This record gives sequence, C-alpha cells and structure tokens, in this order.
Amino acid sequence: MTKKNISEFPSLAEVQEKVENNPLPEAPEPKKVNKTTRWLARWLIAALALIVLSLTAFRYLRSPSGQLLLGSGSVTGLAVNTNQQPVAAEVFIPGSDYFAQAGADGLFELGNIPAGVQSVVVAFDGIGHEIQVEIEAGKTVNIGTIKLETTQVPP
Amino acid sequence: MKQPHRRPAGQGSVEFILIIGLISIVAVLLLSQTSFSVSNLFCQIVESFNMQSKGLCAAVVKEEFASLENWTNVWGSPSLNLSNGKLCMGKDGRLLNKTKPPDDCHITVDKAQLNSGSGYGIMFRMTQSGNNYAGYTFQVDPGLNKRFVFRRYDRNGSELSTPLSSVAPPNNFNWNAPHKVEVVAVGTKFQAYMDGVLVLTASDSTYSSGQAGLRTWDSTEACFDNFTITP
Repeated sequence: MTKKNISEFPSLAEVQEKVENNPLPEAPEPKKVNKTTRWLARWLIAALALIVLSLTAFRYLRSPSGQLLLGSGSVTGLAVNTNQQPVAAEVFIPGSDYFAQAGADGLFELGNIPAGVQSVVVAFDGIGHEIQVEIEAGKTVNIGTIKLETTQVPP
Repeated sequence: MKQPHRRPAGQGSVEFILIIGLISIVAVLLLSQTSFSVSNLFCQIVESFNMQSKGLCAAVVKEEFASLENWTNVWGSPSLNLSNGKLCMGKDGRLLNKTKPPDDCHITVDKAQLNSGSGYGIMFRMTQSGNNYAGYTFQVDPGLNKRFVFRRYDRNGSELSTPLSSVAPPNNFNWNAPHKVEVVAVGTKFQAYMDGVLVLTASDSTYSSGQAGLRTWDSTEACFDNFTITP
C-alpha cells in the first residue's frame, strides 16, 4: 500500500465546490404499476381462491364423513324369493361398510345411512339387486318387498 | 406523522405466483372430478409415435402364461390348464392377477377364444369386500342373450343382476373365433374394444381401484393368450 501525502488530497472547500458544480443525477422514478392490472390480478386471485374453496367443499361433502354432516336415515324392507318365501338376504351400500343381514323372516333394516340418494343393494345367493333410495335425515324409508331372482336378468 | 410510502416492488411477482398456484390447484381439483387421465393421454401420445414404452407407460403386467404363480383364484373351482403360452380356463372361476395395476389402466388379452359354454370376462378394479371380491367385468356373453356386457360385483362377490350396460354385436359376429379383447378404465368411465373396435361403454363410480383378471362360468371352456396391463 502506497502512502499519500496529506497535501495531495483536495481541501474541503474544493470538494464542496465540486459537488455544487456537479450535482448527483436524480434517482429514477419508481416504475409505476398499472392500477387496473393490479386490481384485475387481485380479482382473479379472489375468484380462483373462491373456486378452490367451492371445489374442496364439494369434494368433502361427497366423502363419507362429509355426507354424515347432512344427517342420516334408515332403510327397511322385506326380502323374498320368487316363491314369495322370505330369505335372509344381505343388504348393503356398495363400496362402503354399511351392511345389514335380513332375518329369517326376510325383514331388514339398514341404519345410519347418510342422507341423499343412495344405491342400496339387496343380495341373495350371489345375485344382487340395486335400488336407488332417497334417504332423508332422521327418517326411515320403507322400500317394500324386494323379490330376488336367483338368476341374472337378461338385458 | 407521515406514513412511509409503500413501494410496490415485488408485489407483481407474488400475485403472479399466487395466480399460477391457484390455477394449478383448480386444474387438479377439476381433473380429479372428471375421467380425464393425464398419464393415459401421455402414454397414448408415446404410443402414437411408435416409441418403446418405458417408465411411466411400460406394461405393469405382461403375462405370457408360462406359469400361474402370479394368479389367484377367488371364486369357484375352475379348471386351469397351461399349454403353449395359453391359459385355458373352464367352469366357474374368477382368476385375479396378483399385481395391483394403476387405477386408470388398459387391459389387453391378445387372443381370447370361447371353445364352448356361456362366455368369458375380463375383470378389473377387483377389491376385497366381505368374504370375496367386488369390482367389474366386461363379458363376452352369448349365454346372456348374445351380448357384450359390463357387470358389477359387490360385497361377497355377489353379481348385480342388471348389467351396467350391454349391447348386441352384429349378427355375423363369431362367438367362437379368437378375438383381441381390451378394457380401458379411466376414472368412472369404462370402454371395451373387440378386435380394436369400441363396442361398449359404461360408467360407475363405486370402485376406483383394484386387481384385474379373467372370469369364466357355468360350462364355459375358454382360452386366453397374453394378458397385458398398461397405464
């Protein structure tokens, strides 16, 4: 490092004069953000957030736990074979754990089913019969006598 | 006191990232509500370019019936015979491949031939329910008014008496000739192809995943050559 003599430095008066004669350039203006664009972006974010919330709520309400928020009801009925004899059929909602077994008298009750339209299957001897039932919260729907064929129904 | 001026710098980027993120979430939520499969579309494109299927699009099951070690029968007592890379199956049986395929998949049997009896089926999305398996089948079913049908099985393997959908093939359809049979399951939509031609569709949301396999019933004798599952 080379040492400088103090006399080589400008005096305070010289520095002041230099600054006054050569002012610093003005700072550039901050870039202006278009207000309309910003509001459009915010509205778009709000709209998208609303869509996300709605879709999430829709998915939840279709889930088993979500459906129970709508309340639950029951289904009752009588299962008989083609000779009108009562049979101990199985009654369930496919793809779920809702299951009941009819008694020897053919009577069945499937309880605590989420409210809404449910697909109820009554099955006996390896053949199931599907019935769409509108379940109302706190109510029991009687679907009457279900006659169970033991062979497939031709299309 | 004068409030300090809030600089808008950086705000644009945050909004931009938020918009992109939210659009992505909306897209994922919407696609999950439909039967559209991005991986399926990707594999179709790969296939259309005659590129060798690897990685994501590679077959998850490629069964040439050298043995039955990858299969398990879950219903009845079918006769099962292996000969020249073919499986011949008879009587009442539901034979499932042990590999669990992707939920959306494409099942192909290169040659399925009904030698005698009521018909045969390709099962898919079969899952344990009660003491047996629930899921779906596409059936080549001359025993049921000579139709192609999609059926559903529920708890304890009980078969829904009314098919999900059915169609009668052309009068000149040869039930006993070998046919290429394909089933495509994407979301809640199912398609069946016979010899490369779409013959039947069905829709059901009860079962979304599970194993695939083959079915025969009653006095059926049917042979199957090459069983493949691709995404």
